[in-house]
Amino acid sequence: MTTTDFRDRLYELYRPPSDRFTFVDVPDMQFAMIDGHGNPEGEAFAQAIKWLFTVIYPIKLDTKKRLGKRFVEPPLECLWWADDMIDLVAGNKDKLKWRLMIVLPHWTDDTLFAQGVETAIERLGEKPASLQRGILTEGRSVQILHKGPYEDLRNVCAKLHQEFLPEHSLKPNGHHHEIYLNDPTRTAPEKRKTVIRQPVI
Amino acid sequence: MSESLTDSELLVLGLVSEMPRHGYELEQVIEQRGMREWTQIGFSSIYFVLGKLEKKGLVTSEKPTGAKAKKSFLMTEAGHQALIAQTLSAITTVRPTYSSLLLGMIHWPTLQRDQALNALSERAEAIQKEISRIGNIQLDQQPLPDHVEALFDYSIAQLKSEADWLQKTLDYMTCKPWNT
Repeated sequence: MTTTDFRDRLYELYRPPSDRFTFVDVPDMQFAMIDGHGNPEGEAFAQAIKWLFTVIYPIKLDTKKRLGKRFVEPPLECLWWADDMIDLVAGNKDKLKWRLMIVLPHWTDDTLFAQGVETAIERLGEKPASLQRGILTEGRSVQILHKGPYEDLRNVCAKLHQEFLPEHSLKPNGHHHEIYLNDPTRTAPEKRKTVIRQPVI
Repeated sequence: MSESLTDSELLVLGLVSEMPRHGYELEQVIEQRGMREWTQIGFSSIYFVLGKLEKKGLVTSEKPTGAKAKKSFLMTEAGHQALIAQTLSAITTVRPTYSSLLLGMIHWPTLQRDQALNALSERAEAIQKEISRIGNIQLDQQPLPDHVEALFDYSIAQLKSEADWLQKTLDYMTCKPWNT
């Protein structure tokens, strides 16, 4: 697994240009993840987010101590797919499957992760069955920064799959990946920044 | 220079500045962020405060379009200027707050030795409880932006410094002969 200094690679990985699709080689990184399915406006999705942020809290405090001013708040990320991929582009929210994730520092081990899980169990009760620490391999990917409401993400996704990929003879090689750079409860829809990433081959 | 705003007015103006919101949404945000911890703003007073801000020209309301649409409040340019001025003044002004502890310590000699020392340890316990209570709120509210994390750190740092003072004072007073 590649050792990733979150800050040094931040701009390449997390702040792509917004005016065009660009290529990036994503190193393997480890994440705290929870899987689920169904409408992202539903309770399950909100609960999964709450769990992830609670689990990473002790890890975050530890990271802050180690990195000091170099600490960067890791954003919420989500992989999206559906049994029939048409549902993804069409926005049939009830048919969606998702994996919510937050990136972990490369030094996070079982002990540190378990500490986070324990904190969360204390606060939130029984842990979600799918909660895990896992490595995501994406490799060569196409990405773009979208500025605006989450509702418009579908259009960007459609453009990527219907225009950019065919034009460059590329095929998807992994799940559709969104990285939410803003907290939607504190940021107006038109100001929200989201990275859309698609591993390709 | 705009007239100064009350704490509630500044709070509501700040929330409207993030994005246009209607009254009930504001209520939810205030509740979710635990803002009632440190401000006195009731549910009914949100509309009262919005009315005052509107009168001052700092927010404006958008007329509902649909039958079910709720009246949404937006910040005006004057509101933006007022928010900046008030935020600067809130950060720079040192407003002393007086703890009941000061009044208690002044009257220390009216107490028996045990009473006095026990009272200090009781306070020390209460401070520890408060530190963990605020730490839990901070955890429950994750994720928080840096400036809000700093706000929590401030409250906890103040309590910890009081805890230190209590420990030192308790040690000192315990060793000292009791004067009558």
